[in-house]
Amino acid sequence: MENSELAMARRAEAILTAQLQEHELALQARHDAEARYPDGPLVMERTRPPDFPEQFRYARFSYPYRPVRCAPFVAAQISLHSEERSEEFLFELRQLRDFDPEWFDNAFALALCLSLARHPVTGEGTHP
Amino acid sequence: MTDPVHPFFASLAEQLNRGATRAALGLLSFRSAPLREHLHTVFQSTPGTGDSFLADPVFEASFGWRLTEDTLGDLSGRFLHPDVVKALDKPSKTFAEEYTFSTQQHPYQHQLEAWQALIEARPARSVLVTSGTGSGKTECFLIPILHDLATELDTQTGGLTGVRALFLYPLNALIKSQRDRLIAWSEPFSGRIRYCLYNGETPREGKSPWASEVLDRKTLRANPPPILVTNATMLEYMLVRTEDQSILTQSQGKLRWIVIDEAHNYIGSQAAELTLLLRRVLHAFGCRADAVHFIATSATIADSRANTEEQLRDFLADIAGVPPDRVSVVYGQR
Repeated sequence: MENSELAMARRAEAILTAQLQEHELALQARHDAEARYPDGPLVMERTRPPDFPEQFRYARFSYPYRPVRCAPFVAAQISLHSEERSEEFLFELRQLRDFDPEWFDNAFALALCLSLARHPVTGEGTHP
Repeated sequence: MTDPVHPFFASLAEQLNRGATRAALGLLSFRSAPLREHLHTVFQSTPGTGDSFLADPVFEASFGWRLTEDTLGDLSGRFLHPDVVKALDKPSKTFAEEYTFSTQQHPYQHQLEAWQALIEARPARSVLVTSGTGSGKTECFLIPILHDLATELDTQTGGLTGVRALFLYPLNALIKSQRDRLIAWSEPFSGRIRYCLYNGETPREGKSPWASEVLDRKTLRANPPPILVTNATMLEYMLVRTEDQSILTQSQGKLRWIVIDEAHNYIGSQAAELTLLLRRVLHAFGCRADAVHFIATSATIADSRANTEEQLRDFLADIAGVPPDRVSVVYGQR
């Protein structure tokens, strides 16, 4: 597993963040000014705690762009912490994913990987 | 001793609660009047108590933006067209609460700097305004544009036909927020200064209750207003679509202002496409880059690094196709 994405993320996180940037640019290029980005107040609420990574809050963008961008990272955090969320929350996440599944799926995979890589390695095959 | 602050915050909380209640009930649109009334009563209870709609308000103190010594009234006639100052002081009544810029009010320092660069400097200068949310970035460019249009009105009877100012937004959702302000400050000109929000949702035909608003494509094409608020996608269409040709024909040589609002949202290929689009816009409108004021605003690219100013200047110079020495960078200062 030396060349797995996870191992790569542990060795050089920048490789994965560079991939994320490419996906971000692709997302931006797929939607023009007429696009209707869905809102996600519950998802955005989940980005507020201080432990949420600053770079994935996408605070540099105007608000309408942010829920779609933040959603995969919120979803990854929920998965890793095995949190249970309300139906309403999951519906909101699905709506955000539906807007651009390509972005969501790619970013979700990378977000999971980055988060796992930040956890201390406790043994072969051990998960946090 | 009476506490002047507490009543202010108390009334603010009430106001927020009232607005949120009205918005929520409006969105829910329950048909049952008793249910609406019941919810209205429940929602209106004091924030942070029982079943109240809003939690206890939390206020965060922040430093205000630096003010100028002059009031807006002091600038009337000396620097700004008196009709513009009058329109700001007494905007359309419907929007007076939110958009009155009183003659007694002191503009922010960065607003005055932007106005000076855009109104006084010859030849035309371009400006990049970078400042925080709520620092009045829109006023930085809208007031000089209204001043310019009001000055042109002095030389002619009737209203202005043909696009003088092009406002570009990266997303429709960001365009809508400008409508109220544009009506508030254009309406006092009784239809002589008009604007149109042109995007995919603009209806083919329609009539606005406001003299200053062009609501439909038919009027836009027949009698283009001096202010056109649009997005890059619509602008692309406008340059190639036969039915939009009349807008370009009637605006030949008249375009003097291009505003790129929320510029920080243009990243990657969109920024490159915008750059090329602006070159084609100048060509289609029959204008030279050095005769047009390019204005970009951004809330988030401000930084204290020494070379930031140069980077920002280069950013706008590249997009606009003007030399960097013709670009001023204006920072919001607290």
